Amino acid sequence: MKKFYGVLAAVSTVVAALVASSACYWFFYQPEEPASLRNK
Amino acid sequence: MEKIVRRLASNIARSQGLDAEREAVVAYGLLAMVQITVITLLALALGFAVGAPVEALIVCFSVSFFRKYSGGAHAYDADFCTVVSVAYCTLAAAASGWLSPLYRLPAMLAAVIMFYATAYWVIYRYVPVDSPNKPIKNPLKIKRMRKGSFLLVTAYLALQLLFVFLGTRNPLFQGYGISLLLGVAWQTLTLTPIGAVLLNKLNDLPKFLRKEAHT
Repeated sequence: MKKFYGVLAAVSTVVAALVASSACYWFFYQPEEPASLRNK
Repeated sequence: MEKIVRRLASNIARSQGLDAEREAVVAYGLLAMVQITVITLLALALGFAVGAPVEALIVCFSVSFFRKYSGGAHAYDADFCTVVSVAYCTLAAAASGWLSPLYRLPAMLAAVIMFYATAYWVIYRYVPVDSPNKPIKNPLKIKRMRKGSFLLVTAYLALQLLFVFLGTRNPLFQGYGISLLLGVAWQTLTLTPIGAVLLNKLNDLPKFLRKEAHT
């Protein structure tokens, strides 16, 4: 389980970085962006 | 949906020894993956139900790729966003099927010119439309988003004209063309102040329904 969580954490971090470069999340919802991803 | 994702992110953080900021980043990426998967699969499933799965996916991807550069009006929570997004993708896909028998080339070309001219003007006037949860103030980023939106809509226009051309030979492409046009039209609307008011009214709908159910 720990290994699976590790893979999930890595993939989620890559997706978060990809999503952070865009103006919007995907459709109509935009959760609060973590401070470390912000590039106002 | 967001609560479940945050709980999962918290478990991941505990198991991997991540700090609060890294946990927030994992939750942010995880929610994006879940939302993209759920919206796409539901749009596809309901698209099958109305007999227009490809059209539903065309609407889904045309709106979401456009939003990535342009931003737009937002829903207050992830679940309501999913409901509105899937409902629009399904309705637009079904509408493209209903409108196909009425398809006439001059009318379609007139609609393409009108909708795309409006889209270009709206991009020039309003893009990027940010949200309090993700403000965009950097002039370089604003320029990049605006340029990206122009290029993307130009690519959509090229694809649209290809669908119009292919539609003269195969009626299947008429439906694809109508669904792409409906995707561009919807996203253009959400970039305008009228679209923001409309989505705010829709945002109040779940609260109103809950209140009505209690009285």
